[in-house]
Amino acid sequence: MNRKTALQLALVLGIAALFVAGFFYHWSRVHDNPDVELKTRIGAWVGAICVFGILSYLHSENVFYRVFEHILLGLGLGFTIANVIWQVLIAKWWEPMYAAYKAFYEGEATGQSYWDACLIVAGIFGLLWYFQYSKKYLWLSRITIGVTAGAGAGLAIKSESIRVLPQITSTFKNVIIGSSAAPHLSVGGRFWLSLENVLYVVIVCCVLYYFFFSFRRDSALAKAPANMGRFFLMISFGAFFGNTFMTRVVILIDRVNFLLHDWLMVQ
Amino acid sequence: MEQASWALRVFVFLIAFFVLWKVLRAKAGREIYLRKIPGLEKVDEAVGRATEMGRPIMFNPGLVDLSIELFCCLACLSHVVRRAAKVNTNVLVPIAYPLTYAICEEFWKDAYALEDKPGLFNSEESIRFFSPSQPVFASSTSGWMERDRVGANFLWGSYGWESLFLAEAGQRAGAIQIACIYSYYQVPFLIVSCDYTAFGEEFYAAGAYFGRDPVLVGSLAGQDMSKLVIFLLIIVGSILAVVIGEFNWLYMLLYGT
Repeated sequence: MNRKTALQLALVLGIAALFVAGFFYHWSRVHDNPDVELKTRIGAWVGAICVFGILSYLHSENVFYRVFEHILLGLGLGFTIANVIWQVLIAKWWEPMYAAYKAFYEGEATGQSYWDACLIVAGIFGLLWYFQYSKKYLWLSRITIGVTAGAGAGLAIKSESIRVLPQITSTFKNVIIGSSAAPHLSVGGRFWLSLENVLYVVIVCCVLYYFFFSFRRDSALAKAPANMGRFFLMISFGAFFGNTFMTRVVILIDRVNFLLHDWLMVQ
Repeated sequence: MEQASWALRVFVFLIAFFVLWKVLRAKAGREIYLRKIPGLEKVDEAVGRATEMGRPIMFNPGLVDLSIELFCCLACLSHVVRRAAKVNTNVLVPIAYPLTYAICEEFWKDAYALEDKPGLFNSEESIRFFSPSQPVFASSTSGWMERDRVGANFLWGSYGWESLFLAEAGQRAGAIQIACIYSYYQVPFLIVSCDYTAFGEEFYAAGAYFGRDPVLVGSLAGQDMSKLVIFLLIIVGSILAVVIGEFNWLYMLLYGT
């Protein structure tokens, strides 16, 4: 038995021991919590096993982890397929199209029925994707890929343009705030607000300058704003890091809470 | 129907004009300067290192769907696969969205074909669709990474919290890691866990940087011109904010009121 196998065996035995201990502890607490239903208890047990299975990855990629990885993958994939069938294909495609053709058949068609009837084109268009499996007719699937990609790019350009303009206008800051601009503030308050606005504009300009790719920056003077931009970016990344780290700790606390309260029923 | 303001129309027209102008100049043979981007310089080195170790490469576009970011990823995927094909190394690609799967597979196959090595590796084994669900994608990809002991890991696309999880798995597999990501919230995690990181606009510039294709390089230079206009607008807008007030005519014009 090599070292890795021994460690994995020890890990599995450790988790099994933890479960046995957890089982007895859980059993001892059941009498104190008679209101908790059996299905809730089973759910807590399944949840706890999954949490330990995934957390075992902290040691290494192991058999225990692999089992739960594949369960998670199967569940995720199944959920996605079910979601696409019920929320997209049936709700947004089949039902309106069926209602439209039914309305035509019964002579009750409205203006919307004509549009909904056109959904059959989308269905045929979508089916072209499946020509991916035919070497002879592969080119048909490329039509769908091309149109979908083109539509995606067009929509992205529209949304980006709408997003950028308000960002530009919100950068127009008054960097010298006088008494007329902010009469409610003291001299000190106006000074700090001016400084804040100066920093805001300078940081935006330096970071924007850092992301110029096709302009030469040979002299030290030309390099300075880019270096400052990188420096400001690193400060913001530090702030993001701290902030996100706190979020991750909250998620961990949530899982520990689940194990203690829902699984072990510790009050 | 939603209508664009005049300022927005002029803005979009201006961007299109700059891009077309620069693309035409590049196509006419005018050389366009591109500065060095340190993270991207190391891509070929990473491919070489994985080949020396006899291990596959993983190119991970993350949770990127059909968007501009996907097209940036594809240009880089094509570059990495072509480099790997030259040295008979396999490139593994985990995919989160079905639409992305078909497009990535096309690029993957084309890149091997361009190097006269079609069928060198099986695309069905090398490109795997997982799920758009973040935990599923993260756990499946990291498991795959460790089992196949990848030699180089390219985290190139869109990630949420799973960025650190994936980078950690790559580090444990002993892979050289290069990240290129546009989401600023995940950059700090990749900076601390990867060997090289490119971020923000560098992600969009990567395609032009590798391929040196006149259309892409011209487009990048055109975008720089657009950024220069934005830069000048900010300076002028700030001066006007001091002289006239924050809600001046330029503000109103751009805001569309």
